[in-house]
Amino acid sequence: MRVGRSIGTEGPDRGAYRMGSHTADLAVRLAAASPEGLLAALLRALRCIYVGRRRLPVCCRRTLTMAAPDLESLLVRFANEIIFDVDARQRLAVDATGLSVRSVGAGLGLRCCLLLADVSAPGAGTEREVKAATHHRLAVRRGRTGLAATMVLDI
Amino acid sequence: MQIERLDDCSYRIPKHGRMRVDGIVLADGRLVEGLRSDPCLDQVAAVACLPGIVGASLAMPDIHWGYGFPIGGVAAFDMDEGVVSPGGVGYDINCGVRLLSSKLTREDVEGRIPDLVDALFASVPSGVGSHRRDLTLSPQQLKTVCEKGAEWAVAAGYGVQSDLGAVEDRGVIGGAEFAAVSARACERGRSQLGTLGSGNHFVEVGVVDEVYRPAAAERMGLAPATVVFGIHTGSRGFGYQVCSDSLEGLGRVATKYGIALPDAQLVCAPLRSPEGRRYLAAMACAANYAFANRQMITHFVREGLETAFGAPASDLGVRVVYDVAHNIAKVETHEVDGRSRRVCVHRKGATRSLPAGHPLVPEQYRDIGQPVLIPGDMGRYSYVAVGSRGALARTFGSCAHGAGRLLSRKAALKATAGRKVREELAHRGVYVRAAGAQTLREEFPEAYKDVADVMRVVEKAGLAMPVVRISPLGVLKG
Repeated sequence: MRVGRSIGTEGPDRGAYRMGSHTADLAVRLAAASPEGLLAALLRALRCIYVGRRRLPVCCRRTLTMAAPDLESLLVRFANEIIFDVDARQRLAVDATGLSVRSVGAGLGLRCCLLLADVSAPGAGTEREVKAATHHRLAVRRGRTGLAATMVLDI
Repeated sequence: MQIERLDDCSYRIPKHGRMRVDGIVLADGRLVEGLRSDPCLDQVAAVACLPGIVGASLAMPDIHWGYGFPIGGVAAFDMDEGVVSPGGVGYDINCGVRLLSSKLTREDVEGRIPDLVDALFASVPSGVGSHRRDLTLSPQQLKTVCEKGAEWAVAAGYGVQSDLGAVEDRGVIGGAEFAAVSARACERGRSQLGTLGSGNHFVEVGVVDEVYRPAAAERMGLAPATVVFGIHTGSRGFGYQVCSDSLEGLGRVATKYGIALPDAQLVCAPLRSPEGRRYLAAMACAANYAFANRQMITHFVREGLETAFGAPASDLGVRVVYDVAHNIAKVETHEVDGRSRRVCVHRKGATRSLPAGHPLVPEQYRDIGQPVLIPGDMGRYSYVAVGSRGALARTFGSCAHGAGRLLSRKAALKATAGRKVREELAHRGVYVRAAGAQTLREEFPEAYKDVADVMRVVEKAGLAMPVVRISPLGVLKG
């Protein structure tokens, strides 16, 4: 798997992503050694979908905490959070710090600080509109080298 | 996937495993060959596993792979035993098509199409992340939009009363409850009303180039050489968020009601449950938002025409021919196994098609049948048809909604590498203005099936009868 372009997500496991396709939409293949790595790769994949290789300055930060019953649901909720910020607030998460995933009760909890860029300014706009992250055929596979999943995004 | 030929326009996926009914695919030999290796047939079978499904799990001729339901999927559920599934409606709730006719003829627009499309580009907010800086709805305004749909837009000055008579359900679906909509959906939707969006959404300038049923065409204002305007858009971020919220909210409901899901994207709730009713109430809000959105864009098209021709839109005779929803769930009455039943019909990438005489057809079309709009790709042609009796007998009054995608976006980009799609279309007589260059390549004509193949099956299956064919002259892509 080709490693996605680095954008500085901290931590030893930054994961990797590759773009695929799903008829009218996009499939993002993710691979990492840990859940945090999968989430970091997902953030970078979304950043690439939205603004390609452009580097945008961080304009603000936001602490994000969320819980989900399983890792698949956590990936979908995390992606939908990023999509919501772009669509409703014109803020794109270009990086995250302190990304951690912990067991919470029977499920998982996520905590991080999202570093956001303003994509409403002229010339800083997004290149694509993403409607939502889907659960379509989403299953995190655990292999010898770590975790892998393919997420389909409705475009 | 085992699939059996029934006749020259339909195939059957026999009931097997947990399927409660058969799957029926409306397609001819040519279309079905392209589907044999496509996962969309598995999706037809998965839908057939849902509780309370009646008749069959249906696939229209433009079927392709979606999430949960296939695009081009139709399924009806018993009101007492059945379920409602957000995956059977899709993210873009009430995505649909509106067609406008005019007094303009091909001769009137000769040599003026670039100016006209540029004027439309200036008047219709479009493209990725399109928001209106001049119109941000207050919570109270958004509530009214959700409850009144297109009527709100007309009352706010975006159109005229007569527009509403030619819109499915007069542009408003009952049962909308604003309290069922999340704060997030409101935040996402408050500045997107009156925007086209991107992807496959468009405003198209076309001309009637073939007439198959002159009397019906005349009734619709579609004489030969008439210039028309097609609008394709939906409920924007508001609807996407309503769908996402509903999928999240219903995630655990299936377990609560003992429903075994064949696919996580097919989450659902019993129609009679509080959760099912809540989804329908939120979906109706988004559907009404979409009707208001297409009504506002109609107004912006009129404004663009006024700019391009320097004449009031009323002098140009711009009128709504029809407006159809093609991502929706509706409670309707249908004949099932010889008796009349109330069912919830899910149409995901499928258009309602009602025959002449049906009470839900607007009065102005009651004797000819409901107009059915089947757009093709931006380089070839589109069709306007009228509903026929076969649709009630075979598909719960449903029909194909377009050409159906043939290539993935990635494959389309690969196929157009090094090509100048805009120039190629110009050679075909189509002027294109696109907000994004990549979208244009992803949406190039051959990324879609030939809609004539779809129309042929639609007619043969008795779902609708062609009235006119429309050729594109100019396209505004989001």
